[in-house]
Amino acid sequence: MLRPPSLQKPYDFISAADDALAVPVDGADEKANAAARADFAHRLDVARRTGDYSAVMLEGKQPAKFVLRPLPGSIVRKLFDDAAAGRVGNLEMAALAFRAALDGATALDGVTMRFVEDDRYGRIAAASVVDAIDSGCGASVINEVGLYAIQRAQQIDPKM
Amino acid sequence: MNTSTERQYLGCGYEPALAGARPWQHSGYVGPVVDGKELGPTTCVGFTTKLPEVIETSRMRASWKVGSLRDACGGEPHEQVLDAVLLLDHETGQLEAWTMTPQSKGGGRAD
Repeated sequence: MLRPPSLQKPYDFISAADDALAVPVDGADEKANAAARADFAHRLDVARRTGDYSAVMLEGKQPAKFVLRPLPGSIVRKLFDDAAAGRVGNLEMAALAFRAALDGATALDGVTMRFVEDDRYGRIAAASVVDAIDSGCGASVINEVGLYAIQRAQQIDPKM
Repeated sequence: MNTSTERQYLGCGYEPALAGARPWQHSGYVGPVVDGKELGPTTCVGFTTKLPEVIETSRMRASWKVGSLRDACGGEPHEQVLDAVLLLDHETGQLEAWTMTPQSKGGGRAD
């Protein structure tokens, strides 16, 4: 059971790179590949808005679920300030947003969830969590989840 | 049953967006004005009103109106909850004002 997106409570997020998703496989026709990728991106966007991933899931597969909390504006401002001042790079900013938004995870092999108290960002996931996910899933997942958390915090979804 | 293309023209959120789509809008709808032109809704209300965050906002507004938002949130309301509740309340106020305005003055109430 997935927790739907919420403005107040933690919600579940599945990465586009998850093996449990029916990601289209490229064939010889570049045009058909592009159409299939666009269709998948749209269906994944709908899944994330509605919390119903059934249209993008492979049957019998269990996805890794990131439990994210809605980021408060105060955290997002600090992230942007730190990036603008050059204290962190863009990818580090995404990783920090990931750590600040992460509330838990399920079905992530080899990842031990641990939280630390950061002077600037408060209670955030430990850096070791990011390292373990980098090793198991690839660094792009951290970037994807972190940027999604920032994007959600910046404005109310215009589709609402 | 509508075809996929028909649903696209109606702004169905389950279908990929289509340029020139005209989602349904109620009489008295007031959209944002960009470059002097009032924009209509981008997505069908049949989709948007079933989104979890919209349902959540409706429930939060009901609690907010009776002063129990904090209880509904289980603590301090997130700032986005407050934004969404105020937005919904503003839109509801606009609709109520329209229903109370006589048709001769651009409203929806019979003269």
